[in-house]
Amino acid sequence: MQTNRRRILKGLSLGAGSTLLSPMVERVMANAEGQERPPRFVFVLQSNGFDAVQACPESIPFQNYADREKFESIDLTKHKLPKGLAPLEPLKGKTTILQGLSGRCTGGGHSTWGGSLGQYRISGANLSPQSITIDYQLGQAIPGILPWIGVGMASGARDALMNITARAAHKTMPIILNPEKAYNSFFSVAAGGDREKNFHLKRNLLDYMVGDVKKTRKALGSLAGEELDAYLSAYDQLAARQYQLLDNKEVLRKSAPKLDDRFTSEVATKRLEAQFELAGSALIGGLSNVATLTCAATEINAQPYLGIGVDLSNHGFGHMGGNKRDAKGIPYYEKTRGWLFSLIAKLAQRLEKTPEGDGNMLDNTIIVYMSDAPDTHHSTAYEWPLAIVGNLKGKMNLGGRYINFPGYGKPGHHTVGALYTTFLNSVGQRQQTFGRLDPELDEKTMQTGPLAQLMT
Amino acid sequence: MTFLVRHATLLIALSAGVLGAFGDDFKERVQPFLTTYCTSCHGPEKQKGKIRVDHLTASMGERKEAELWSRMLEAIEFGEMPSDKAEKFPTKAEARFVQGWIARTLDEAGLEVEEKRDKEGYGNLVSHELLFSPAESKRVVDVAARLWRISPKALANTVRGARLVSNPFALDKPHGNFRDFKGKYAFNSLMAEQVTELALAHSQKEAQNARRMIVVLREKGMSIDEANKEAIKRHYHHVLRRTPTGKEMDTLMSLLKKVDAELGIPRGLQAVYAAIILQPETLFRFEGTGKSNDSGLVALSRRELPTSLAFALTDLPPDTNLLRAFGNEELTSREILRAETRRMLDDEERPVARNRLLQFFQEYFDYQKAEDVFKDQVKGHKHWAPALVYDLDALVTHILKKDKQVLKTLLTTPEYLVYVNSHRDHGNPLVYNLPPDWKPTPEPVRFPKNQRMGVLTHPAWLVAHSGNFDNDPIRRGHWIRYKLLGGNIPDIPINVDAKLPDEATWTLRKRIHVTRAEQCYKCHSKMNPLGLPFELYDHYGRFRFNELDKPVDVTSRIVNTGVPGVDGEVNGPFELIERLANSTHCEQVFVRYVFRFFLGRNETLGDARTLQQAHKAYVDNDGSMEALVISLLSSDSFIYRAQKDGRKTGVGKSGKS
Repeated sequence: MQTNRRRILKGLSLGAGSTLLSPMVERVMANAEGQERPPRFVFVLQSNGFDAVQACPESIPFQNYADREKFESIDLTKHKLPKGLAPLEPLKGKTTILQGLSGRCTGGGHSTWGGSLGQYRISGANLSPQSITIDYQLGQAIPGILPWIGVGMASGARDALMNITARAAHKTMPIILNPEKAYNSFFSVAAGGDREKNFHLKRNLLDYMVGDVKKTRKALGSLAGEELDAYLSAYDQLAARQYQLLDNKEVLRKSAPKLDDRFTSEVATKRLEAQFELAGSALIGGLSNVATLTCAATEINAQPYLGIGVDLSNHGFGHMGGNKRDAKGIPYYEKTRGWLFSLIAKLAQRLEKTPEGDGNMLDNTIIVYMSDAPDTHHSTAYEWPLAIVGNLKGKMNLGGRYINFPGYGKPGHHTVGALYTTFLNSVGQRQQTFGRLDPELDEKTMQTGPLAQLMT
Repeated sequence: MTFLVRHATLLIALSAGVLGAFGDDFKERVQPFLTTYCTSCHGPEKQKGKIRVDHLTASMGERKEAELWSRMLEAIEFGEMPSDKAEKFPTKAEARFVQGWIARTLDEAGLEVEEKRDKEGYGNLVSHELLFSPAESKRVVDVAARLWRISPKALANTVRGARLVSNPFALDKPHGNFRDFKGKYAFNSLMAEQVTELALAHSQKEAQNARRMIVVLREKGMSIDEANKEAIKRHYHHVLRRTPTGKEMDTLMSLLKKVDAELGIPRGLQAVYAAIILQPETLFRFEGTGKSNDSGLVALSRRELPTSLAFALTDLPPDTNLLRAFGNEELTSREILRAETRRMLDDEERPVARNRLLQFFQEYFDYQKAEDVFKDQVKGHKHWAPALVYDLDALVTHILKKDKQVLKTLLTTPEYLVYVNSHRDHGNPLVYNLPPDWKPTPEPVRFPKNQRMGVLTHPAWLVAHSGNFDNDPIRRGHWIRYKLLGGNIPDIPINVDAKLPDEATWTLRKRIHVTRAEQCYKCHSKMNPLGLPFELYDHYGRFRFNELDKPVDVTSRIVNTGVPGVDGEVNGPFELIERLANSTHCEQVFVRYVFRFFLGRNETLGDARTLQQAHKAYVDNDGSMEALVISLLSSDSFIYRAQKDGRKTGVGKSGKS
């Protein structure tokens, strides 16, 4: 094994001066030495609902959740995917469509905000998170250079989206909506030229800031309170992160996305393309093992899809209905979802092309697609259709399956929270329930994970 | 802390002496309370909602038991229980005692109870009765000094150029609350990064400009170090309005040299400029550095007060007039605060402080939200919400100018300003039921008394509190319940399917009938009856006689407000509005909201005197908003801070006398 180690180090042209092993090097070595690599998770969140009927292939008779009595698993590879999911056709064997999990604890509505990933209901008074969200919790369990990254798109030029991902109650993690800013945050260390100089300028400045805030903190004593502590810890984390990035400069240089006009585009859909590119690079470079990507998440009265020729607002086509085969809104949903799935497919294929251990990166990745308005434009969360790509090297019984869970409250019914505990168990976290529980459902049989039907 | 008790809130308004041995209190007072008011529905015979409380003990040792206690605490606190149908109701003092006992015992058992009282949106949890009781006015301020975050707007005004870079602190305004409030800004590393980027972007240009100045200074014979120091001094003054200390200058100079050496000139100066912007002093405001007086209170210093006042009334740092005024040693701080607040509010040339009053009403009535409520365009009616909002802004400004009986006038005026100034070309007179060829006038338009009355029947408010396709009596009722009656409604339970049936042939009143189900109506009885009289208008804000071709039903029976003179049958919104406008209680609740807006936090019992004096100032000055704000901004609550935060123990501190 020693030879192997040396060969890899040489291959990555890390000189003798390098004292810290980068996670990337560790990863490659771990593979060479036959160790297990931590899995990766990607969450893609799109606004405006994912109607159950639109998640059902046309060749499979659709049943309303209320009529689904039994657990059912159908071979998806024998059916043509629904139109909105068509770009996943080449990956059908790795794709699973999950129907019938509920998330009533989120309350539904136009958007459940952080409820989608946190499985709690946001209060009427504010949107503040109630507890840690699944993406961040997974990220903490399997950290890369950073535990988690979140990037996304809003129809307008906003910088960040809050209250989707949280590291704890009331502690939101911003999803960066500006691709150029996201690039600067994660890759400028290896960008060369002025961008790289700016990285070092920032690093110096942050070192100074940490010292400065510490001094103020000390001078103020008990007066300073939580807010200054939060400020200090934010700068502390940020300064430390610059060194983590610096330590991994070579890896980041190799994996950095190519900066093109999409990163600064005024067209929202172009910006999301750039963000997918960036997230793929982040996963490949080992920057993070968990990424959350948002597509106009929480936006209702907005037109995020002008760039692909849909000039109606989300609200506009949301109200044309989507949970009947012939609803007028369906072509709009299919177009907007189909476009997003083309990005998801591209990301999956990029991971598939990247070797890892004795296979490729997609083997060890799970991509979850969901809407922050669970089932429909005015969502109820009695069901929460999901599309999943990947199966974590067969650890999960996913791929090529169309799964119907029994409808809300019927024997064998389960919640999205139970699915999340299944993910947590796959990374060694023995947690039985996730998020807030639904008092109308039995805790033990319906809300406790992991879900046996999805495990191998 | 063994586990988290969810959704419990802690409100204790205990006076000294009620706490004896907990066990005895349980036997002597809590258990009899349960037997008298709870067990007939939640006991051995009936278990409504599958809840039974007769076997509860004082130990709270078991998780399920503790959760039930905390749920009970919330139910009493929000007035959810006993339900309206109960035969007996506890007195307020009895309920308060039991609330206090539960909260205290949970705390004693080491259970973490989520504290809501100081959270945005939960200010009404503090007992109104106690806040306005003369006995409580002897309390002293019990809120400790704190760190303030500079608001996003103020930051943009302080740091020139920040405005041009998008602001990472942009705040979403949750429905019904104030935009800028304590605890609004959680700070984390990604946010820190954005602020840092902002500071770097801003300082890049500034540093380049400074290079030119440095060249000139060098030509005048200064050394490079001296010239750099001069540049730093100027920037320091520009951002922080003071000169750096010798030590501060030394650390900044070493940063400059380090970066210049590593990355080349002028990046060192750029780093230093950014560092100045990012100093805690730029983003935070400190207070309470003075010494405490005999009552254990710390008065804000003469250096702190001008900043506090400036940011309470504007988004600008204190100007030289304000700084000078606080230098006058002959006047007390309170006298200066009064005079300066008046001066700023009366400044007609630069009405920034006056605009703050308008901002209060925008956020209190929450009518700007009208622009966010998407409505389909219907044939023959052009709906354009910005014009409506503009009209209501104009009306509020008009009433503020007169500054007499402001709340009452806002609630009851029959006169609106319609399509004045710039929005006239876009307005649609039909929304006010004016003829299509109606010609705009700068004068107020008087409406028949049976058509419109004040803000709550103004199209902007109606639209802001409506849905995409319908009126929203629930939200309207919610607004009245909170903002005028000072009530509370628990967060929506998770098993509620908050949707109305989609029946095109039913009136909204009929569709909303689903909320009469027993488990819903506990809360909905607090909202629906208050909102239903506003069915007199359609969801575009137009007055109407008919709904679905039948005369529209605008009757309602107001129940359980707990406010004298409000309960009873009403036929349409006007009777209801008049009752509210004539209620002293509602006026006091309004004062509480003004307090929260201008002090940036919820009130505590330690603010009882401040609130009572503010209300008195308002009444004595014929309902003057200016007098009210002057009173609040020169009050004990504004000037003093407690050494320790009394709220943490849940018990307001009693005054000395």
